[in-house]
Amino acid sequence: MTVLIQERAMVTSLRLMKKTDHPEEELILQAKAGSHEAFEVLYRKHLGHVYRICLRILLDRSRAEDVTQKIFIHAWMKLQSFRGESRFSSWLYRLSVNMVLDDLKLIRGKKHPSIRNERTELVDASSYNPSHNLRIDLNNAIDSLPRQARIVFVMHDIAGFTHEEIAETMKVAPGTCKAQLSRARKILREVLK
Amino acid sequence: MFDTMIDDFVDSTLSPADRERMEEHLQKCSNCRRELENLQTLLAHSADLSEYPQRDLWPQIEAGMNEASVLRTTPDDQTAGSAFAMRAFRLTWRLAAVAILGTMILLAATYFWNRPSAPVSGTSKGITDVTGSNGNPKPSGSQDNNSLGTDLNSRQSEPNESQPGVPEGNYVEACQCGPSREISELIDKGSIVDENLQGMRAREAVAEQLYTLAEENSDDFFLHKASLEHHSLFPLPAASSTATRRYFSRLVQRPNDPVWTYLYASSLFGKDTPEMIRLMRQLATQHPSFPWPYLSLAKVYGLFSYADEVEARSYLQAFMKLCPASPEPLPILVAFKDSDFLADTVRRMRLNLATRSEVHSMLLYLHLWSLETRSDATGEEFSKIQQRIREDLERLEGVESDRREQLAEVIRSGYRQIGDLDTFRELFEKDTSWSGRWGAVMLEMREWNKENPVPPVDASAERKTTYWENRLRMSESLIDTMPESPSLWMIKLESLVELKNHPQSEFLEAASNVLALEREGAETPERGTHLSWKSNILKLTLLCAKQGLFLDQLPALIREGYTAAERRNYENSTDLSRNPQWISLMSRFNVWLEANDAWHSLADAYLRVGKLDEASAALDSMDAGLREFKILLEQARANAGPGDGVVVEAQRKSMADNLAKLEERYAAAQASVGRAARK
Repeated sequence: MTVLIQERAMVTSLRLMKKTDHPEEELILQAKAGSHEAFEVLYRKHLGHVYRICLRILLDRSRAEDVTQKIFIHAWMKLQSFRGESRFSSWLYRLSVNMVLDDLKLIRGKKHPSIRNERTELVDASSYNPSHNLRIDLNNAIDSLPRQARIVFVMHDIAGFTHEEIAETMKVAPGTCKAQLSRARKILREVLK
Repeated sequence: MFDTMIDDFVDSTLSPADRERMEEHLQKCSNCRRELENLQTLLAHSADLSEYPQRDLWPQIEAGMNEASVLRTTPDDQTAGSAFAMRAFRLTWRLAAVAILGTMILLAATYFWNRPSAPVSGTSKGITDVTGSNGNPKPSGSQDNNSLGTDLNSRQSEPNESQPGVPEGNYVEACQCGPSREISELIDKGSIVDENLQGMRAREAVAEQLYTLAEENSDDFFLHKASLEHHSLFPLPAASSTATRRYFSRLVQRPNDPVWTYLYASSLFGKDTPEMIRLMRQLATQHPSFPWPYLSLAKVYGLFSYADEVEARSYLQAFMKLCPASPEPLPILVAFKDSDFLADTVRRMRLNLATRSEVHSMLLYLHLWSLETRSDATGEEFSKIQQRIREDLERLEGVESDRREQLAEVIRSGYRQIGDLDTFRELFEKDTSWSGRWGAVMLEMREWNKENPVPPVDASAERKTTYWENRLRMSESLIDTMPESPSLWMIKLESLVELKNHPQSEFLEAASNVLALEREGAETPERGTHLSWKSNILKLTLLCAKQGLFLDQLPALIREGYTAAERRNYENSTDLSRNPQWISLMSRFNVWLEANDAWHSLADAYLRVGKLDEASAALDSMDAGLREFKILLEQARANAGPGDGVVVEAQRKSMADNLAKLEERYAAAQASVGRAARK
C-alpha cells in the first residue's frame, strides 16, 4: 500500500515535473511568485523525507501527517525568506525539525497513540523482500531508540543538522549531542549485522 | 580509541592528523573496517528511505496555503542556514506576533463585515465596496509587497484600476426569486449538452457551459447559480474544486460581496460543508433580504449528516416568505417527515410549477411526482394523483420538440410513476442519448438477471454452460447498444472465462477494449453511486491471472487499477455523511479487496508456471496491504465515536473479519509457495 502511495506521489511529481520541466531553483522562484503548481512539485519531491522526520520523532502517524501539513503551509508562508544561500532541502528540513520539536513540546506529558506497537507487529510478520525487511527493521530500531538519542539521530543523519545546531536547538552541550549520536548509531548498527 | 573515532571519521570532522591515523588503522584492523562499513550502510539507508503519509496531504495544504496567504510575513534576513541561536525563542515570538496580527485582521474584518452597508444604485439593499473609495482603512500587514495575488488584505486596499475583470456581484438581481425571461432562456440553452456524454461528464459539461454564459452575460447571478447547481445537488467534487477556485479568486478581490460569498460558499458544498454553513448563516444574518442562503441552509439541514428538521424548516419558511411563488424548494422536500407540513408545501409547489414553462423549472416535476406518489394515498386518492401526473405529462409532451428532448428523463419517469411501464420502455428505446441508452441497458440487464438466476455451485456442468452462453449473448447484444461501456465488455469477459471453449482472440479483444475504454475514462460513476463502484481494471487483472495471460504485465496493471480507483474514490468523496473518514476508509478498503484478489490470483498463476520469486513478490504486495489496513482499522477503532451508529460498527466488524480471512488466505498461499520452493 505504502509502495503504491509512494508510486502515486512519484507519478504526480513526475507529471508535474514534466509539465514544468524546470530545475528546483526555478520552481522555487515560481512558487515565490505564487505558483501553487510549482510548490506542489516541491512538496511531492520532499514529502517523503519531511514526513519521515516527523514520524520518526513523533512516533504517531496521524500527528506526523498533521505536522507535515503544517510544515508545508509554513514553508509556503516563509518561502520569501529563502534566499538560496543553502539548499532548499536543508532549509525545509531545518524548518521541519523546528516545527516537529515544537509539536513534541506540546504533546509532552500527554497520552498519545504511538507507532511502537504497530512496528512490533510489522517486525513479527515475515516478509519476502529483503530491502523491505531492512527498512522495517531500521525504522523499528530508530523508533526504539531512547528519546533524545532518537531526536539527535534524526536531526543529524536524516535532516542534516550539525552538532552545534542540534546543541543550540536542544539546549545541550555539543559533546552530549555527539555522545547521543554515537550511542544511537551503535544501536542501529546492530540491526544491520 | 579508534572505535570512538569512527563516527567523526564518517562525518569528516576529524583533524587531518587524526584522519591520517584513522586511515592507517583501518588498513590493519578488520573489526574497525567492518564497523565502518556497517555505519556507512546505516547512513546510506537512513538518508535514502522516505516514508509517505497514508493520505494525500496536498488538498489540505493547498487550502491552508490559500488561507495562510493573509498571514504571509515579509522577507527577513534570517536564512535557514544561519542564526540558529534563539531560533526557538524567535519562532515562539513570531507565532505570537502572527496570532496578534491574525486577531487584529479578524477584528478588522469582523468590523467591516458588520458595519452598515452603503447604498448602491438607489436601492435600499446596499453592499459594501471594500475595494473602492469607501474609506476603508488599510488593515495592518497589508503593506507587504511580497504578498501573493490571494492576499485578501493587500488587495482590499488597492485601487479599482488594478482589479480588472472582477465586478461587484449583482446583489439587486440576486435578491430576485428567479431569473428574468431572457436569462431563463439562456439557462435552458446552456443546459443542452452533447447527448453522447455520459452522466457525470454531462453534468460537468453543462456546468461549464452555464459558467461561460454567466461570464458572457455580465456575471449574471442566476447563470452562475445554475452552473453551480449542476454539480451541487449531489456534488461533483472535481468540478466543484474548479468552481471553488474561481469564486474564491473573485471573493478575495471583493471580500464583503454577498453574491460572490454566496457562490463561493455554494461551491464548498460536499467538500467543506461546515464552512459553507458558516458563510451561509453569516449571509442570512447580514443580508436578510437575500433569499438564496436560506434555501441553501434548508438543503444542508435536510441532509442526514447535518439533519435538523427544525432548522431546515425554519430556513425553508424564511425562503418561502421571501419567494412564495418559487418551485425551487422541491428537491429538498424529501428530507421532511412532518406529513402535514409536507402535504401543504407539496400542494403549494404544484401550483407554483403550473405557471412555469421554462425547462429548468419543469425538470422539477420529477421531484413533485416522487413526493406525491410516496404519500400514503390509496384508492381514489391515489387515482387522483395518477390523473394529475397524466395531465402534467400531457403538458410536458406538448412543448416544442427540442425542449421536449431536455425533458425526456422526466417524462419517462412520469410514466413509471403512474405504472405505465410499456410507454416507459418504449421511450427508453427511442432515446439515443447516453443516459437513455444506459437506462435501457440497465433495464434489460435487470430483467435478464431476474429471468436467469445464477446456477448454484452444485448445478450440472451443462446447466452452467447454458447459463454462461446466454449471458455471453446478452452481453454481446448490450454491447451493440453501448459499445463504449467497459462494464459491458467485462460481462463478456467473465462469461468467456467461465466457458473456456471460445477462441482466445475473443478474450483478447474484450480485454483490450476494457483497458482502452477505462484508460480513456469512458465510464464514470453516476451521482451518489461511487462507493459501490468496482474497478474494471482490477477485475480484468484477476481474469487475466486466472487465464494465465500477460502475467508479467499484471503487477503494473494491478497498481494502475488500484491507483486509478483510489484516485476516483478520492475525487468523488464528499463530507456529506455522518462519518466521512470511515466512508473514505471503507471505500479504499473495498478497492484494496479487489487488488488483494488480483494479487492472490497472480501469485497462484505464477505458482502454476513455477515462477516462485514472482509469486513471492505478489504475495508480498498482498501482505503490505494487509498490514496497512490492520493499522487503519485500529485507528478507526480508536477514533470510534457514539455518533457512528450500528452500521459503521457492523462494517468495522465485517472489515476485521475480512482481514482475518485474508490473513489466513495469505498464510495458505505463503505455505504453498514454501512447499513449491522445497520441492
